[in-house]
Amino acid sequence: MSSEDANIAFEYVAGTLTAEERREFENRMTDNPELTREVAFWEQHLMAIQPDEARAPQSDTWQRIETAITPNATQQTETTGFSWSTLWQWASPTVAAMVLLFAVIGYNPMQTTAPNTDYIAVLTDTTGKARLTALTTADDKRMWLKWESDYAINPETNVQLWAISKRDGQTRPLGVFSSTDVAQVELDQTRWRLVTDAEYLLLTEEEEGGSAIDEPSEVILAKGFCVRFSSAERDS
Amino acid sequence: MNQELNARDEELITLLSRCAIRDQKALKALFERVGAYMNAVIYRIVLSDEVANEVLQDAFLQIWQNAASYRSDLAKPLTWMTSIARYRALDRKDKEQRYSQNIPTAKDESLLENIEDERTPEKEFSSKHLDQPILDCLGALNDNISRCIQMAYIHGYSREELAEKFNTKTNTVKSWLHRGSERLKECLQNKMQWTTS
Repeated sequence: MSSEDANIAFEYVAGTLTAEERREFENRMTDNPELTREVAFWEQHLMAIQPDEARAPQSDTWQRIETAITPNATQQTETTGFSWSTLWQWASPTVAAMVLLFAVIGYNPMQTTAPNTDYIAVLTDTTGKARLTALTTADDKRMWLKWESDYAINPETNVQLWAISKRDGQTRPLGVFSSTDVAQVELDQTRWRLVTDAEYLLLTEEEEGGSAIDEPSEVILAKGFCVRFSSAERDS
Repeated sequence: MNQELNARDEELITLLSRCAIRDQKALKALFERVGAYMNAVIYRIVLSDEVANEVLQDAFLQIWQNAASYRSDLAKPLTWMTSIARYRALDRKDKEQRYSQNIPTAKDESLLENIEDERTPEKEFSSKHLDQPILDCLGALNDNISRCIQMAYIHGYSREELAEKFNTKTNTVKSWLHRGSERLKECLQNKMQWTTS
C-alpha cells in the first residue's frame, strides 16, 4: 500500500477527510480489500480512545427506526410472489424424493450419533423430478450440491438458489450458478443462518449474474423443503 | 485482523446475524444495548441532541441494511456499528455547517463538557474491554499531534478547525496527522509483535 493511501485511510478513520473525500474513499474501498483492512486496523485501535459515556436517545427514536424498517405488508406479498396455497403442489413430489433419498443414503431416525449432514433439501420440478439436492455438513459451514446428471443450465442464463424463511416468509438469495459443475458452496455466517432458518429452498432461472433486484424471477425451476437431520443446535 | 471475541461480542454478532435475516426484534435489542453509547459518540461530534438522534436513527437503519455485510474477522461488532455512527455524524456535521449552521462548531468547548457520565450497561461494551496499546502509543507522540488525533477522532474536528485551535496552518495539521499515523502504526505493530512473540 502506498504511503498516500495509508495516510488517507488513517484520516478517513480519524474523521478529518471532507465529505467528498470520504465518499470518494468509500467508493475506492468497495473493491480494495487492502484499504478495507487498513481502515479496520485503525477503527479497532482508535475505538479504545472513545470515552466510556452514554447519552440516552430521545424516547421516540426507536419508534422512528421501527417505522422505517417495517415493510408494507401488501408490497411484501407482491414482491415475494409466493403463496402457501401454491406451495402444496410442490410438497408431495418433494416428500417422495426425500423418502427416496433417505433410502439411498441410509438415513436412520433411530441413529444416536449425529450424521455429518444436518440440513437437506431435495429440489424437484413440477413433475416431481429431482433437479438438485442440497446438503449442509455438520463439520464445516458448507453446502454440497448434487445436480441431477441430465440437468443442464441454459448457457444464456444463470440459476439462482434462494432460501425462504420459515420465520418471516421472506425470500433471500443463497447463490448464483452458471453451470452444474459447482459441487459445493462455502457458507458465511449470514448464509448459514439463512439455511438454518429456511422453510424451503427455491431454484429460479435468472439473467447472468443473478437477479438484479434480489427477488426470484417467475421462472421457478425447482423447490424443496429444508429438513433438519441432526438435533444438535449449531447455530445458537 | 484476528479478533478475540468475548461473550458480549458474541451476543452482538448474533443480534447482527439476526438483523441480516430481517429480525426486527434483534435490531431493537441492539438499540437497547448500544443505542445510548452510540448516541454519546454521535453527540460529541454534532453537539445537538436533536441532530444526534436523527443521526442515530440513520445509523441504525444503515446497520439494519448492511448487517449481512458485517465481517467478524475484520471488526468487533461494536466497533463496526460505532464506525457507521461516526461517519454518518461526520457527514451530518459537514452538511449542517455548510448549509444551515445548525450545528455548533467544535470551538464551542463549553458544549463538549455537556456529556452525561451515566454508568450504564452499555459501557460494558466500550473501550475498557479492549486492549489499549493505542493509549501508550499516543502518549509517545508529540503532544500537539496526539491531541490533534484525539480531537479529530472523538470530537470530529476538521483539519481547518484543528488549524485554528492550534494556531497553525491546515497543511501543518495534515502533516501532523500523517506523521502521527506513521509513528502510531509502527508503535502498534511493535506492541502487537511483542504480545504475540
